[in-house]
Amino acid sequence: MEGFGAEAAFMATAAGKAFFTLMEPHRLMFLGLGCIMGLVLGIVPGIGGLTGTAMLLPFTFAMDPYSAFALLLGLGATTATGDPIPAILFGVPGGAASAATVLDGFPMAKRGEAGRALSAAYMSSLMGGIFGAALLAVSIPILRPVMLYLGSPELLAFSILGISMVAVLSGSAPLRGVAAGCFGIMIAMIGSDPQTGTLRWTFDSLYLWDGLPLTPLLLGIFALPELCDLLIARTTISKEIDKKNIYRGQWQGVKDCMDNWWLIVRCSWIGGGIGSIPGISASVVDWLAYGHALKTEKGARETFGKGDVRGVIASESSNNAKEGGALVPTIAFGVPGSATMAILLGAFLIHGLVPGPDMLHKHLDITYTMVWSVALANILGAGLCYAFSPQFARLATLRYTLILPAVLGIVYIGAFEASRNWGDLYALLFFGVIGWLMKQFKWPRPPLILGLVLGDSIERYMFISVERYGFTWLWRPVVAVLLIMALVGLLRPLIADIRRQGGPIRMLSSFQMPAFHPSQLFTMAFIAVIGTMVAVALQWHFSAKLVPLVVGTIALTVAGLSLFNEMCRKPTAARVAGLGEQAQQEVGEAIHMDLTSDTGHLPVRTIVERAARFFGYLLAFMATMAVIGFIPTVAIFVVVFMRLEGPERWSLVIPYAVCLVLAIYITFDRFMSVPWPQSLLGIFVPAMKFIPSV
Amino acid sequence: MSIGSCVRHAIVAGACALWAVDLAVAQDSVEQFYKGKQIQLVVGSSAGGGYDTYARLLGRYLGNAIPGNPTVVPQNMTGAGSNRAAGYIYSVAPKDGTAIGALFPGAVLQTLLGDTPVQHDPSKFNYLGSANNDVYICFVRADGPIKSFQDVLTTETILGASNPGATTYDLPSVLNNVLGAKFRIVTGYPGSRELTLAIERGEVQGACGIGWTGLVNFYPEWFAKGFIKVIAQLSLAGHPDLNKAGVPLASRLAKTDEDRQVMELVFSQGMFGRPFVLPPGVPPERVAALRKGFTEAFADKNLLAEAGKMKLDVEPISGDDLQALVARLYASPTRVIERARQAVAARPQR
Repeated sequence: MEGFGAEAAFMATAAGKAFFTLMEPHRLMFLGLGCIMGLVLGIVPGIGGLTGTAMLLPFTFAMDPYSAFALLLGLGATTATGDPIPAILFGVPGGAASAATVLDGFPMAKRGEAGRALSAAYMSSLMGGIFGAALLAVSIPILRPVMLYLGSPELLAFSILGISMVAVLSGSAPLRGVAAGCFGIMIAMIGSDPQTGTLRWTFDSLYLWDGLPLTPLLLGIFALPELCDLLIARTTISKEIDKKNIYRGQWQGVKDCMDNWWLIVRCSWIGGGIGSIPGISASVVDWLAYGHALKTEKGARETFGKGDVRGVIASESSNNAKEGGALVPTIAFGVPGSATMAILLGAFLIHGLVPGPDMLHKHLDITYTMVWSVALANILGAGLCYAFSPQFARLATLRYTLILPAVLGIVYIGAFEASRNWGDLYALLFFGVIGWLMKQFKWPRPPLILGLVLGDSIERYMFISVERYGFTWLWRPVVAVLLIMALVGLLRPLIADIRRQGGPIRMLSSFQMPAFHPSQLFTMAFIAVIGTMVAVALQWHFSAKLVPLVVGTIALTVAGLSLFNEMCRKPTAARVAGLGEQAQQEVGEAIHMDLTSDTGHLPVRTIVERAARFFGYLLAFMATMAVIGFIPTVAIFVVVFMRLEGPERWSLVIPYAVCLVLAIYITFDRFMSVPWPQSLLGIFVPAMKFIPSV
Repeated sequence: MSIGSCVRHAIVAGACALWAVDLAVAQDSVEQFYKGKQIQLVVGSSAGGGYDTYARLLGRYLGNAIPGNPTVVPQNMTGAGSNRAAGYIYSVAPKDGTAIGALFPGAVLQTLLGDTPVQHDPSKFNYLGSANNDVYICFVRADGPIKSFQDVLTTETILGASNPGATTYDLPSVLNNVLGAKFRIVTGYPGSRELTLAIERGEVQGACGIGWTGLVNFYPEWFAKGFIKVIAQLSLAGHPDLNKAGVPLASRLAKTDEDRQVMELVFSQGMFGRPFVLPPGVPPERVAALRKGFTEAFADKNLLAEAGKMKLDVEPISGDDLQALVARLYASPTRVIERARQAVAARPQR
């Protein structure tokens, strides 16, 4: 007990010393600078803190370690505060960990509650960030033993528990949810496999060798469908809102967070906890927290996905907490918890700090400076966001012809930043189409992302566990508890669903002779794609094909059942004209766990025509880009789009195009030196290369 | 002095003068070319990793060491174990000396040892040099049953590894296939940090194919406390410190000359741990200027001080030496190459 008291006193002294060290004005200035950069990078979809941290690193060489970490962590911690802004306003997630924010934040913006949603997002980011840092601060003495206890079997069990959230996130369409989740896992298997080096589903392309990067997929699955529907509906995102309303909304958002403080605590612990486990990607913490809120919050099943502020709060508090969590393995073992942390590790070494036991004893004050930096950065970041919030909120009231050109241009760069390859753009387009179809036909999209992110670690750690321990690892206590939790999480919704429909016998009796409907084509195409992938996989080495075949078989089975269900279930009501309503009917009365299209009032023909037009624009953009380079294409795209769709007046179009091109040129060409892909013009007329990106 | 010898002397002197002028002209034209230019330094791995750290370090000093002082801009191009960046440098990047690639050593040996076809021919690159020259080692936890390399020939030892194609997998499988070592290789650890953590928590007993210098810099307490034991060096000549400590060279245990050649072929990648390459077809005077700049940059006091702080091992090998080494590797007897390829590719079916 005495030892414990001494330990606590030692920690408190270090924490106090760290606080006053950080309070030096020049260090606060660096922290503030980092925060501003982090926010800006966070707002731009697809561009996270990684690029910024890599660029800032050399500037920190000459600083003292406290200032260096203040600058770097200020940037890293606040990107997650900037992320929800495009997610709420345009339905475009600003980063991987705020995709779940779209689900409730975007409908709120559509209702004219952008101010409230943004405010709730900042406030929950702030509180989540601080709770995450607090968790880190108190757990420092037990960090190393806990981390050493978590072996590959535990990581596997955590991943399985994560993926069991598919059941919750599938809402009323469990079969489709499981199928989408399996599809996600199969996409995660693309590339060189870690067991045998077999190149799985790479179609002889180097791009796919390391697997598909997350960002283009995420932007394709979540951002493009929203932008497409905006063009189809041809409206503004939200109705006119007056200034007073925004301020009232902001206050309401703060109050929402205070009312739901316990939810924030839980979600930030989920975020901090998952973020601190090395080897498991934290890019799905938002979904895990969202799923947790959905399971535990009262009435959530009826309102989540339709603009419930608690959805925004859950997602945002978890993703800001994860950065504090990611510090844990970095500090304690030198195993970076995220890509940004890998760069931070470089900063450690430059300042003569070796991660490991020393950071928790000899250099404890530096460790606490980091904790304080993360906490303060969250406060500063949220404060800055509040200052600009009214301007942001008004963006949602702009016409679609003003929003789409800029947002689309930036989505393209964001996707391209993933691996700076044409493949990123093809992936964006391909998954954009898939995402839009899934949204239209009521296939829940969250399970797909969950499968995509966790699929890889499940396969990896399953092989390590089996190879190393045979099957004895199943009896490790943490593993057993986590797996039972996963099993319960998976089965409970299924049993509840069967009971709701009056038991298995009643369910079977409600079937009829198969009837075909065009919307079933999507399910059929899905089955065909998975079937082809499985057929290709059959020829691989045993270890390389084991998981793909198991997952593929499950996907085929559930997709088959879903198709049977679609064809043979007795219709409950008369047919409705809108695609969306038709699909809603098919998935029943319970909540659909995804955004719904608000284009239902339009005839199917119009929807299809306008969607074709949207993806036509994207194709034309890419074709032009191949010929004359990215930056000139942006200029042409803005002019053509605004004139054809509006038509907007020239006096608006020209300044818009000039400003956007300049902004892109300065940020991405000069500052970030993005290697633009070669254009045909540049190859055949090298003299034209003076134009950037040609 | 006869007229003949006078003439000979005059010719030699004239030739010398011409050569000197020629050199100066070349130097001038190189300077003119690079003035105000940007050199693109394409890094075949993600930002923040070891390869990236080396490349950015070089990028900060290389410009000043090249006539005309061009700006060097590092850009990351990940994919396919840096084979994508290699393909880009080989066929897409400008061939005028304004593009440099920073690759994994695996991309240099890819066509020799790998099965998967790639877009580049490593033997045709212009090699700029390598930033370090590390010695790969086999090490195990000291508290386990393995006390020396002889023990792994009789006792099964569980090693952690990343994936086939990575040194942590390829090197121990060569030891299994050529020397009959009994390593059970557990693959799937994403990177060397995750791997060392697995050793620390006792999930695996050790690893083969991690660089000695990096390891001793990053985990000094492991060696201070005798937590791990180095049982073999996978290198041609070994590291002075390890040689002094009496750690054996695995290739010395070869039973036949061919076995030794096979091992040396695979272990050679340690000598070019961080290779930098230029596309084929770059004008020779610019290649020469860049190679000279590379060597000078890595001798720069400030660079060495920075590297020292970051605990980066800088032991450059020059472009000329690396070029000769790669040529020699690619000229190995077909039978040796074939056996090395099989030794790396073979994976027991279970």
